[in-house]
Parts: sequence; structure tokens; C-alpha cells
Amino acid sequence: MRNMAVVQFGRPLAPVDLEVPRPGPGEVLVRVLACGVCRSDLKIAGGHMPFSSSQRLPHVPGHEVSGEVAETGPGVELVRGQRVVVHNYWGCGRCPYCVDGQENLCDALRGWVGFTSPGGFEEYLLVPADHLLPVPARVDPVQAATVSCALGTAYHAVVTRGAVRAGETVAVVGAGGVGLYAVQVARAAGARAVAVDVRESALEAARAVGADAAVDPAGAPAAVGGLTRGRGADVVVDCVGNPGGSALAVELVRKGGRLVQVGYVTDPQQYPTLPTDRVVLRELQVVGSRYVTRPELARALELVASGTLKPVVSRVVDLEQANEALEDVRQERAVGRVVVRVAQDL
Amino acid sequence: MRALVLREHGDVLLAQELPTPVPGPGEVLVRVEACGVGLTVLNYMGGRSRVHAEKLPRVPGHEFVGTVVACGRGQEAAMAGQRVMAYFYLSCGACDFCRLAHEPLCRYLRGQVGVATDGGFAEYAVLPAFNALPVPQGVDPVLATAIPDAVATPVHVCRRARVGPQDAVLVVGAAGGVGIHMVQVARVFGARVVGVDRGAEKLAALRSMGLEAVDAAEAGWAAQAREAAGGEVTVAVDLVGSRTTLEACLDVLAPRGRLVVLTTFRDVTFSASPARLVAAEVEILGSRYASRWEVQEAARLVQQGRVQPVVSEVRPLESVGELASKLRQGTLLGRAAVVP
Repeated sequence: MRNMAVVQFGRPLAPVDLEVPRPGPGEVLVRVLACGVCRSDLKIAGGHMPFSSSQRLPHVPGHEVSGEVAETGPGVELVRGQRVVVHNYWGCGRCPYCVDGQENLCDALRGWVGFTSPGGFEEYLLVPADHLLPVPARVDPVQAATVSCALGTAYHAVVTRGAVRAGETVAVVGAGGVGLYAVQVARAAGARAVAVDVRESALEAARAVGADAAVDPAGAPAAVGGLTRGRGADVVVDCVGNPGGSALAVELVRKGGRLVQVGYVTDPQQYPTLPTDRVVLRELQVVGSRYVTRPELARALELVASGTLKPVVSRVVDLEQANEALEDVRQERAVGRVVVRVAQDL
Repeated sequence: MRALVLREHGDVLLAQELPTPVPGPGEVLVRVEACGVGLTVLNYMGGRSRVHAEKLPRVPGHEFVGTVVACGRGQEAAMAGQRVMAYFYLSCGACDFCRLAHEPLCRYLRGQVGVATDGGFAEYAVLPAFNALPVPQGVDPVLATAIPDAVATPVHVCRRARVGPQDAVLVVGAAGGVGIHMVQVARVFGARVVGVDRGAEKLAALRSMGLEAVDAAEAGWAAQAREAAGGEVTVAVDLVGSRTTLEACLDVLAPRGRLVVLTTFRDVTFSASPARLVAAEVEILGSRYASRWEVQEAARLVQQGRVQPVVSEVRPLESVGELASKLRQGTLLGRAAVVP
């Protein structure tokens, strides 16, 4: 089957020989229609993830899979042709985290789509049936390719970890794929949202999806201060995670506010520093936020289906041009998501 | 195998020889070491379940502990030889409530162990692997029968009512099966605890645990309990659940206090004055059983010795009837257990 794989870290993706797998008990063969591209894919292709040293190559990346049910294994009651998105963290269901409803923190993931197990840059993908979420027909397959990572991550960060409430002001640092959704989810929760980015194109997109203000980093303190009578943001969602983004987040948050960390760097030389005096004296809460659980993702999908949240897709490329999509992300040319069209008939 | 069978609703169980059950896919066969006896099982036996009427004949008993001796075909094979305790609710494990660890609220609940399926008043019982939770090393199997309901339910209550060191918790029915563990768990969460119950033996037992204990037979017990709590009760947990006790609990609460309701008796209702709820911002919280995580958390508290299960009577399997009458008279301290 057609695919694009990491053959060597730091080199362009290339097709490799792959057979279409057969679904076993409880499994579904998903025909991949489209797959979103994320900054994490650059870290995976570059060999910069914590697990990269033990990763077996070739590896098929892609973790924002929109597809349809092609074939079902024994014991699966899904209809062929059902449109789906793939939930990426295949929790073990038995560890203390899974049992406590935090499958995103599972101790022993059975699969991690596109990260450590095969992803969506291929025509067919095997998925446990219970990690597929149905997609209403009115959500276009390309738009659905922005859901399982960008939207899910934003929803968990804003709703669950950030616990954003109506009347609050949320600053989103980094208005990329996750950030543009974070702005919209914050607005849907009744909060005001300020988008911060260095790129004018991203700020335009943020305004288009309803940001109350969209500003560059230099203008951010004044914009947040203006909306909050100088108090600062109740919540800052940092989708960047580098020293510049982190310093800005600390500057923007009010006393007693929450810093929700979504973006991250893997190079220790690039770790931001934490000003402990501000954390203590201003009682800041620093909250990490990792991916999303299935019930949250299902709720987030409803918000897309109802039109409350609008996917932002700046470009669609064919599977064979997947390297161009990665380059768009690397060069910061992408606004919202770049999506790889995997199915030729899409 | 030997088993006790309920043929018609009531406290009468018939000792019978039944074929040893065979575990299907996703199930395990447990050799029962002990099974708890409490008011909940009597309620089900009496046909007073609010949710799922019991189908008869049935082997009751949901608080059982034992060893996995056979497994159906599937992942559950890894559990062979493990000592396990039964998780009470037959939850689907796949709906949103289950996945967020609120299994008692499962949208597709199939009922309860010992109610919708045969339970632990027998030498052997079959459980879905989902319902067979590991008993930690070093925990006595008879004492462990208290964990999955009598200790776990209080863990859920404390989490649900956000109990912490800032709280003074009033427990009504404090020396009963759940109560005697409720008072311990509330202390683990850092609260000051006052227990209310009746009978000299039960009050003495509470006092021997270092608790303030108030006699429910006295007219002003609620006011006395408030005094004993240092003037303010912030959380009231009513395990008796009569109109009188529920209303007394609601009346005694401090501003921002929380009343936790756990009982499901048919035809019991109580009055709550909206004016009082508004004026003092009092909360009324329903609390239903516990999640599987909370059951395992309860087991850890027992393993660490921070909660001591109180199983005051341990009898042969056939003695469920005698224990039932003691339970109904309200003279049983903590839990009872039968051993096949």
C-alpha cells in the first residue's frame, strides 16, 4: 500500500514496502482518508523524541487520522464505511491511571499512533475498535483530520486542565493548530481569548475564529491588561514551550492564575527557566496538559459537528508530497493545520 | 460446590449443591475465601433494590474475596493465582462515565454482582475480569471483604464531598458496616470526626477508636454532635437515611456545609428548605458506591494500616440467616463475614 515513512532520522520521508494488515479480534482496518500534520511529526522524523533512540525504522508517522471503517475483525460491530477519527493513546486499561480515568497518562500504552506505533501516512491502519470515534457525515474528512490531536489537545488543556470558566480571560501563546482551537474552546466556555503569535498570518486566522484580541508578543501585555483592568490573564495556555513563550506566559498570567503547558521542547539546552519567586509570591499554578481522553474527544467532536468550533486548514497536499507538508510546518508557513490527503479518491 | 440460594425474597437462604460455574471469555472463576454480610445484601435479598430487581433463584453475596483458579479465553488469563476482591457494579467499561472512572454511573449498567449474577455465598463464583480487582499483599482475606464496599464507599464520599483538614465530619450510623470505616477514612482525609450511633457497645467501640461519640437515643443528639465537633459541622454523612436523621443533618450544617446522601430506601423523602440552602449555601450531594480506582485506593489504605477493617463476626457459610437478624436489630458492630 502507498505510504510515506521515516527511513532515517533527519532525512526526508520515503515510501517503503508495506502490506495491508488484517484485523484481528477487536480490531478494525481503517482506510485512511486524510491525516493532519503537527510539529511533533518534525520531532519524530528528526529523531528528537525521548523514545527516538529505541525507535525501529522505517516508521510510518501521522497521528491525526481521519478515515473510514474498511474491514472489521471478529467481535467488532462497526459498519463498513462508517467515518471515524482515531484516538491515539491506546491505554492498557489496567494500570492505576487507566483505572482512574486518565488513559492519557497510561503506564503501558498498547499503541501510540504515529509516535511509537504506525500512523496515518499510509492507506490502511489497524486500530482497536474502542479507539475509534464516529464522525458525523457533515464534518468533512479533511476537517476531521484536525480533530484527534489539535482539537483534542486544546480541549483537554482549556476545559479539563485549565478549568476555564465563563468571565475569565485566557491568553493563548502560539496560535498554531492547537492554539487556534484553544482560542475557540476558551470562547465556547464563555471566556475571552487573546491569541499571541509572531506571525501576522496566524493572528489573522485567530481573529477569524473569534479571538477577542490577536497580538504579537510585544503587544500582548497591553492587550491582556486592557481586557482585565491590568490584572492579567486568569489562564495562559502555552502552546510553544520554548524560553520566549514561557517567559511571556509568566508575564501575562495574573496572581493566582494558571499556566497550562501544552507545547514542549525536547532539547535540554532549550528548556525555559522557571522564576520561582514569581511562582511563589504570585501563587501561580503550573499545570501540564497531555493529549486527551476519549470521552473528552467525543465532546470536542460534537462542538465541531455543531459548528461551534471551526477547523482551520491552510493547505492540503497529497501523500507523496508529505515532505512539503512537514516543510510548511518547519518553516512556520502553516496556518492552523496542513493536511495530507491519503486517499486518492478524496 | 456448596452454595446458599435465595428462592424467594426474604432472609431465608437454602444450602444447596450446585455445579461449579465455568468462566466464559472475559471472565474468571474465583475460589471464595470469605464473603461479607451487610445491610446492602439483605436489602437486595428482600427484593428492595431500587434499580434492578433480583432474578431468582440466585446466590447472593457481593463482598467476596478469593483466588482466581480458572480463566476464560482472553487477556484475563494473566490473573490466574491472584487474590482478588469483587467490584460490586457490573459496569460496561466502555461508556464515557466508565472511561472517566465513574463506573457506578455506567450508562449500560447490567446490575450488580450477587444480584444480576450469582455472588459469593458459595465455594466458587464467576466474575468479569473487569470486576476482579487485586487484593494487595499482606491483607488478610477475611478483613479484605470490607474493602470493596465498606471502605471504598467512604473513600468516594470523602472525594465527592471534598473532605479535608478544614472539615468537621458528622457520621450518623458510625458503628455500622460502612460507618465504622467512614469515620476512619474521614480521619485519613484529615478531618475532625464525630460519630452518632446507638447502644452502649457501639458507642464504646467508637470511643475506643479515640472518636467523639454521641448517643442517637438522646433527643438533642444533633446539637450535641455539633458541640462535640467544636461548634460547626461542615460535612454530614447520613448512613441511616431516615427522614428524621436526614433533616437533622441538614439542620446542623454550618454555612457551605455538605450533606452526603447514600441511602436508597424506597418511599423515604425529606424536606429541604430552599431558604436555608440559599442562606447558608448548603449543598446536598448524592454519593453512589465507588469507582474501581477508589476501591483500589481503599485497599491501599488498609494495606498501609491507615484504615483497619472491622469484621466483628466471622462464621461458617450457613450462618448468613443468624447474622441477618443481628444486622436487622442493629446490634452488629462493623461488618460480618462468612467463610465457605
